[in-house]
Amino acid sequence: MSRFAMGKADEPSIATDLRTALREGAAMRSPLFQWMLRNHDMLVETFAESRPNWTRVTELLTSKGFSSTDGKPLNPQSVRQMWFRVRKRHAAMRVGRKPRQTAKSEEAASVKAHPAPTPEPKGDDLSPQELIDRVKAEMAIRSGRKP
Amino acid sequence: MMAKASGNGQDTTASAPVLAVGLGRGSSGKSTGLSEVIWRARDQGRGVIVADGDMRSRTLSGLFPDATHPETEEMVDIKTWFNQLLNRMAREKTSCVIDLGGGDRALRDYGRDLRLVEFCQRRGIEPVALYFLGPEPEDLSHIVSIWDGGYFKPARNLLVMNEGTLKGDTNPLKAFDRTMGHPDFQRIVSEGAKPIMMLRLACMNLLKSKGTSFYAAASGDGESPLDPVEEFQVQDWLEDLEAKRAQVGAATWLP
Repeated sequence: MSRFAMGKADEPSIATDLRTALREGAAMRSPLFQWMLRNHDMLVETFAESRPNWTRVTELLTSKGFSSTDGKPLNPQSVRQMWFRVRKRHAAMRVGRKPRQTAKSEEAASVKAHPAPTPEPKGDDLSPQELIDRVKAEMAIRSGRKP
Repeated sequence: MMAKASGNGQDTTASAPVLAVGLGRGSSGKSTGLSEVIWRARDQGRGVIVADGDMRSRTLSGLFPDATHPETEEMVDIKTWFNQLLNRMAREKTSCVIDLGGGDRALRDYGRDLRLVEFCQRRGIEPVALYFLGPEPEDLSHIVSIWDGGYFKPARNLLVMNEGTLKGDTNPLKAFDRTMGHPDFQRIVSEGAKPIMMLRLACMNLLKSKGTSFYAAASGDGESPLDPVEEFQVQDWLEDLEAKRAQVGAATWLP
């Protein structure tokens, strides 16, 4: 980084602008998405207690003033899809928090049949043999062998 | 808008319709894999034509009431049907997922009449070949014959090794070792095909009996939703499949 850039990075106003920009970016997501994300744990619990009837869920959310991002009425399928995306987003956020966990909790989290995807070289970056080796390595794990 | 590579390797926009052709022997999990691709597109709000050319199993027709199929198994009817599909795709700019059954012969014969990949390029359609294979030598020789035949060889080729084809507690590495060590398999990968393993889904038979969309099942939706364990299994299976396709850059190839 250049001395000029380093000097700029120290300015507190940049951090403030960055926070504002990120908040504005988050605000571009639909209010329903943000609400679902904020209330993720409560919704998981609720849906576990009684299966969601998406038509009723949609009617309720509409009565509370939610609509689609372009102002059109919600429909059950889009609400269900949004909930699916919210859960994926929530799971991704949890994965992103992993480095802050203790070593012990990380070890516990790694005991999973199919670990959540971590940044890896893309297929385009790998040689053909590396692509095959990656599949073989996964099969070895599935076969009960140590990687 | 997400950038995508075209069938000739050039970048275009994500709005281009996709022709996804499922290839593989019977019992390779092809129809199951294709139904996942169709449900995935529809779950994400994208329209897709369902084309069931597997006149013997008619799996896609059973799952999707709007599926089209040829009138008979006669080659002339299959060709007419395929022409109609491509014309509809070109006019409506809509993606299509097609199950050709054990249809290398249909594809070969059709390829003599129309250079399919070149037609797609001319019409702004993105062709993708989705190969499904089990561990049997015949599974590999089937796809090698299609590959070497050259009558449908787009730039995008996904090789899906289906763990679900294994019987009982068969060791996947041992089962697929012969396939992955075969010079033809290695050649196909070196020529650009992307290999992934599709995991076995323990509750697959239950899902098939219900005929429920994988994505609806993963969301706890439908008239008779799955129990929590099975719902979790489906979620895990879908996420694993999506992650692997993303790893090899194939997630954006699909309709």
